[in-house]
Amino acid sequence: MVFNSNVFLLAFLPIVFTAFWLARTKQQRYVILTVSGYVFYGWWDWRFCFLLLFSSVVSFTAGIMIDRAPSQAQRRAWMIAAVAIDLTLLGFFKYYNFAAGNLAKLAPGLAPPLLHIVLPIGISFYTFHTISYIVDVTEGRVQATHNVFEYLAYVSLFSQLVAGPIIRFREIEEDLEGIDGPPREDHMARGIAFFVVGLVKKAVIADSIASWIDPMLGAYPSLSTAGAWFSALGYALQVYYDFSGYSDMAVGLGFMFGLRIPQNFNAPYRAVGIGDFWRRWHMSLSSWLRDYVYIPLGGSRRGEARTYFNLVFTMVLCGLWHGANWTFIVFGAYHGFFLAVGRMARPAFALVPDVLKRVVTFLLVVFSFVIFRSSDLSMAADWGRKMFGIGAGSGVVAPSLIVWVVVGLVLVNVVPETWHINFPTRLRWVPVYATSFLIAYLFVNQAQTVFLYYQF
Amino acid sequence: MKFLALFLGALAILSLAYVGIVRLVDPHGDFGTGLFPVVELDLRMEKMRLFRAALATAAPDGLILGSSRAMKVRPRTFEAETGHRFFNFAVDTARAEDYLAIYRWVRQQGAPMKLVVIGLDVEALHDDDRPEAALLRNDALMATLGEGSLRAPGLLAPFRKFSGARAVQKYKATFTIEYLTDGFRSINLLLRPRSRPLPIMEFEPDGYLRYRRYEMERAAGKFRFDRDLERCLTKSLSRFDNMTQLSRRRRVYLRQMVDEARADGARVIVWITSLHPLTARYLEAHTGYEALLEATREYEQVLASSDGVAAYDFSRPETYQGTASGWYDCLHIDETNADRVVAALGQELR
Repeated sequence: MVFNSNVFLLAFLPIVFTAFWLARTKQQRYVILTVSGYVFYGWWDWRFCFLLLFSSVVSFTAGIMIDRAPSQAQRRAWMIAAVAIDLTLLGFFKYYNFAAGNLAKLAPGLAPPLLHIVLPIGISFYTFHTISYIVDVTEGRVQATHNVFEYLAYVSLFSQLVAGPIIRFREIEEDLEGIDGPPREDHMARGIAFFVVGLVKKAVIADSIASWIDPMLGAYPSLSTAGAWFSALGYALQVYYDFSGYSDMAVGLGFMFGLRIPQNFNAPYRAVGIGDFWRRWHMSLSSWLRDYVYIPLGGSRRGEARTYFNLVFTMVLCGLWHGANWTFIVFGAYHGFFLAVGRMARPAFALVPDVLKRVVTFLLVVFSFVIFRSSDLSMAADWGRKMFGIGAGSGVVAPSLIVWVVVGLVLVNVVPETWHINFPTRLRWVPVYATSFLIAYLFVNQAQTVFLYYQF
Repeated sequence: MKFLALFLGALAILSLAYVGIVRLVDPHGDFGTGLFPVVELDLRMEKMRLFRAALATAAPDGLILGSSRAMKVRPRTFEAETGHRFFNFAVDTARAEDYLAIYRWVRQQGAPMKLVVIGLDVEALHDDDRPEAALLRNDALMATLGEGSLRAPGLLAPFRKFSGARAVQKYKATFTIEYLTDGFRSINLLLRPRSRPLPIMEFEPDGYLRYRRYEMERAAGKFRFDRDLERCLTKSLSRFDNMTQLSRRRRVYLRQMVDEARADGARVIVWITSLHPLTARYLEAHTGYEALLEATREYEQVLASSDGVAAYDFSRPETYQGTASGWYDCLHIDETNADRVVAALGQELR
């Protein structure tokens, strides 16, 4: 199920919302959130609910066992076992065929057979939820919950289950503990505002841009130089509006249910360096990787060379997290490389005007999204060459795409990020929200699409 | 909750206002208001209107079915070959259930069928089993199929037998940006009648399609087959979304149609429609088109052997001597290639 669908907007959300606020006790609300999360997830393929349940039960049990373990060694043993199970599941469903396929090219005799594996939607997200919980309990950053429905509700929370933001238990624990409180008027107003803004971003902007660039990229050999540029710029805008739109809707839904979901985007295309970009783009993933990969590897505490290695390694993992494809690995390595360069040349970059840094960072990010969007590295190379006029075709660029790209660029540079908008919560603003919702719904009902990050 | 209640109230008022305006302007002619010009034809409705008019003069006894890929097949050419009076009832995005519904509706009108020619698209047997929205909102055609025979999409599908649910579905279908845009176009046409552009599709009284605008562009040497190639290719791709095999249900519809026609004493000819070679290659690279086409060929042969259908495979233009320039876009043949299709069927017709 997706937020921008009739079944979600007209049936699922009204039913769950009503049931949630009619329920009075904490436990009832946990159960409603859990059941609704599984229905939301199972709408795609109910069989994978068992996988979600298994992963949740393993981490919940591990949390209790870690809590009870008498020694640090035993705590770590439980943590390693539980994280290993989570990573094995993720590795099997997401990376098995990729590894087997590549091994078959290198050593055909040694490669295991390819299997027909369906990638469970959102597995990368909920695996990171459960891992962060296990590690945080081990490190004493959070107290293990003994209420299974509180934990199941946390993992299966439908607003962030399949495409994030990646929330740590400690970030939402307070709200989960106080979930039996009455609805707050300001939360409801902010929730509606966030949801409407997210829906507009996704249905009106991202999908409109996609309708122009998808056909162009479907026949990318015919891209002209201008076409290559506009499709690259268009995709950079599409992926931002699509994913930040989803995140806004998730935040909005959270508010509607009394849960404060953390910020995931902070005007990323205004970044003045690749490091700055990752502090603004998919913030929940980049901070997760920082806290659970980069810092445990030693971060910047073990000398310059090791720091560069840690940066590149973490970013390659970041790329791989997105999918089992060489394009994602190269995407991660590319960002890791520029993070390292940014660190290495920090004194020199300090002299460069911010405007120039912003433009260069944006262009570097656009190039990285060319790799990210390509189906394979040869497409990425071909698309990249065409941007510089090499091997360019004669495909035309639709004027509508030019308009969308220009408007999109203006918006990302001028309009504040959703989190920074002081949404009017006075009742006289209600018609504005209702009209915006209705317009967005006209786009939703025209053609329902899925979010780009559902595939990860 | 006051904010939420007011938000929902405002949304309800706005929605009702929208419905009222849409009902009044009626840009697709769905409600028969007739106050503003219709800017987007419902082709099923339009062909039904034309067929009724054709019946008033001389009842057609030959029927051409299919999708927009069969719309350029000229009834008059068939008439010259067979002596039967033909009507081209090809409709956009036709699936097997459309063939059956249209055939039954035509028979209900009292037209005696002697020859039925079906231009079969591979995706007419798509295994999504979801009928086109235009068929679903066409009560007359839907009535011929009977309740519960189709897996209609949407929350209200189980309640389709209730007129209230059908009305809600009909109005819900107007909640699209395209409908809104068409509403503005309709109002604009009423205010400025001369601003009306030449329509892309026009139909002659026998259901034959004219691409009047393209014909003029061709005459002026301005026509470009590939001007919207990427969109056309993507559109073709979307037609095969998630198609993995031929639908069992839709094969039953096709067979049912054939059986009913034969029971009525009509001969049935089925030809698999062609795609531009570029499109075929594109689909082969991105979908299971090749295997699906093969499965369609096999099924056509099953119909030929067990139901006495005359079967032709025109999936490749060379099979009917189609020309490389005989296309309006990546999916649709022009009159030259359509005449060649008819010529290739000639032996069967005589």
